[in-house]
Amino acid sequence: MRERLLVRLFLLRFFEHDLVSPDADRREILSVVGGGLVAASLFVSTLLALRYQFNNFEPPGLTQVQSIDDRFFFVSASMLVMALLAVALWDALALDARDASVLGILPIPRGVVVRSKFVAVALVAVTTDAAWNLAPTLMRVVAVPLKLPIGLKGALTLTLAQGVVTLAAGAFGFLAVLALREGLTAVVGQQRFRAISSALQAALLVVLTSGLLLLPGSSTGVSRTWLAHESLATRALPPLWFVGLHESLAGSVLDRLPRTRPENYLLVAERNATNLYRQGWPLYRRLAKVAVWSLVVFSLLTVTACMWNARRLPTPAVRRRRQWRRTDRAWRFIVARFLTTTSVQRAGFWFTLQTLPRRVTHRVLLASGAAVGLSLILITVRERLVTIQADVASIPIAVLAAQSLLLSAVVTGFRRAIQLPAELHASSTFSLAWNGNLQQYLSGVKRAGLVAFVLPLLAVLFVWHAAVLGVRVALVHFATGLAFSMLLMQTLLVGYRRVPLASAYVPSQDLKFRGVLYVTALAVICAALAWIERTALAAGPAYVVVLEIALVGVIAGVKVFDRSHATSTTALQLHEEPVLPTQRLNLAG
Amino acid sequence: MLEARHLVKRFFGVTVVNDVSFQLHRGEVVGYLGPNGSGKSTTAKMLTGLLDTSGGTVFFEGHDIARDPIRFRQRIGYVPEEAILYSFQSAIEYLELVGQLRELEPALLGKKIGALLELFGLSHAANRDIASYSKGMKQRVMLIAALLHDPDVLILDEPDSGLDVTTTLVLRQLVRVLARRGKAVLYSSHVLELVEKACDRVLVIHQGRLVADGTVAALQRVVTGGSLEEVFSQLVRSDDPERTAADIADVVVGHA
Repeated sequence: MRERLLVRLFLLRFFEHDLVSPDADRREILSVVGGGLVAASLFVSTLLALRYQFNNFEPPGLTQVQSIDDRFFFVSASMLVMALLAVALWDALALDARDASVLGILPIPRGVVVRSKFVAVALVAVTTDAAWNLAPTLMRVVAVPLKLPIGLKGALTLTLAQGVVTLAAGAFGFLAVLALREGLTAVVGQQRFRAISSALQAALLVVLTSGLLLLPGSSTGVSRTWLAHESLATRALPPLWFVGLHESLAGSVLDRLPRTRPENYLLVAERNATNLYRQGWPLYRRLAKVAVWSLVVFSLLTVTACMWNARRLPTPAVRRRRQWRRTDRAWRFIVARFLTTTSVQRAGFWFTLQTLPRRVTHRVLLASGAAVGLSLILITVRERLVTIQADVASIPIAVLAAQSLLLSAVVTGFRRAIQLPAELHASSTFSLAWNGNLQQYLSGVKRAGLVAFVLPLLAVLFVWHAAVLGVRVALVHFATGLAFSMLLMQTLLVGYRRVPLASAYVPSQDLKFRGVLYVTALAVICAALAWIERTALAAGPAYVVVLEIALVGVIAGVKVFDRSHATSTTALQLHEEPVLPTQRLNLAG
Repeated sequence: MLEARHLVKRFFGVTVVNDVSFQLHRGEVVGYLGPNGSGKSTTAKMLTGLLDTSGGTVFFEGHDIARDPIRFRQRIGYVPEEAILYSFQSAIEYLELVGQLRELEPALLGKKIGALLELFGLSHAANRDIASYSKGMKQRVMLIAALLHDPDVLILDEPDSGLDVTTTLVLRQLVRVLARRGKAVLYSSHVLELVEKACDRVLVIHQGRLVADGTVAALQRVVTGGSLEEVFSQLVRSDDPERTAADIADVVVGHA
């Protein structure tokens, strides 16, 4: 009874997340998140299954090789989604000081508290894992050409294998993050872990989200690329372990099918595919063993680290005093002298810089933006990432467009992040001290975004561009990138009349339509800008100057347009009610 | 200077403040007393314009504050009953944010923050995250934030909550000194002794209605009682405290 109550309490604590409003309806959040998970996985599995149904005469060998790509996709997706869940729940994965202060004084043995927390975490993980993998498992038999006589037993084996393997892969993804978190805490101690926790969480978010975005592109030709011969990469890639496990469990269903002579044009391809698949059998078995052992080892590691960290209940964080260094003084001087001109601008500038890195929700949005941008770069540039381009006129558009794409993703992430209040209940600070000059405050926020997020990114990109394009082109590209970011920042905040980081979050309406339109428009603009830039670079310095002046002119135009539509003083609207995310039927009357 | 005229506030049909009227003059410290849930904080929020009224009007220097709330708030300082600050900021960062939003001159702001942190005994923790502050420390940060811009009107809603004895004594003297320098102060508190010593006039609110408005001496003449505590008890008390205490003790030790 007592344990059940504690588990319930800890389950409710998962809703007390920075991403979730304290006033939100929990059932509504559950339905939106659960529905979203099931719908997304159902959509993907239907899409992949359709391919087989449109190709009903595909022989078993080709189907097997194709099927490995799909298994790789589902296993990796399950792993990444569950790992992302663990990263999203990051602070709620372990007992914290508040749990200790509330439960520590009650006559409940520490072991009961720790066990209950563990059960709550496991329940959330298992439920999400099951919700995500339900549709692909049920749709597994649909992803087999109708003409292949797999029978009822074969269908059941395939379904069961898909379910077991993807669930295990999901568990592995979740446990890997949990093991990393708890293992690090055990090694460096609670205090030191707190110091690096935020950075680690943000880094994991970038890596995992990038992985998820790149997954569709990297799930093709898995057999030929990875499984044709055993290499270090094959042994080191966790999704392949679980693909091996799947083939060991259910690979024989398709492999044992009678080989009838296919159409002539498929004859060679089918023979090669069958040989390719069959030569991998020893490897599948070895990988399967690695999958099982890795799951066992990570489970043991996680449990051991959790138990070690739970030797005593956590104490409140003793925050280290921030040292007032000479560099801080210099930085403040630069901001006051060169980057901002008014007090309200400075308020917007500093408050943005203080909020974005310190608040989990804001970090998540920024990291997501960076992850999307990174994925876009990898997708567009690919092998040209390190190819030196000697001739300006022949620089691929993709290489030049990569910077704008990355900047677009980051600036969009920034725009989303400043829509969220830093701490809504403390926004009364703004109500009391607000002087109504939204334009100045917004200007400070924009400058903070450019200085703290765009410029460092451009500096890193400059190093890459200088190496592959030469210093002269890299400098021009840097200037174009800066002007493009300023223009994008200015355009994205045209007509923005809420107070960034203070007003309540109101989700954008009609995001599905506008989102697609926005992404398409950005892709076109980035490609067009890259083409114009390449043309200008090839034509000579005068054209480059004209391009930069034109960009600055457009920025000024957008600014003037925005100012002409703004009022001199803007009243605060801190608690605007958002539209409900779900339709209510109000059946209760 | 500040006038509440027939203020009414209803939440979901329940009247929390009912026809409250009073004036606050320059150089005056007015105590605002009432039991928990009597409507003190709601009145304070309406006076600052943070909460819309259901009826009645607040005037500042003869003008309705709803007409130009931004200009009005530039002239007031407010300490809410609960110190709600940005937990991820340090005290310095928070005070700088407030000062910058209020457009204080940077050099003056820096000087004021440094001096006030020192005087309120917070300089040792000025660079620490507010999340690690005690209730009293947060309250002191709120007090500094309310004073930074040299307001004409101070509305203090239980500012002594969580403060140590020394700071409470300083606060008592501070409101007197500020009043002598022409400020108007509304001081809501549960510490009757402090109100008795610091305030020129006392307002007593009970169940949303103003039940008394006058100097402590005047109230003592009207209601038969010695100290302000006795006067207050007679005005708002509904139960015998001794009897209630005995009943609580009975419940605590009872096993049935």
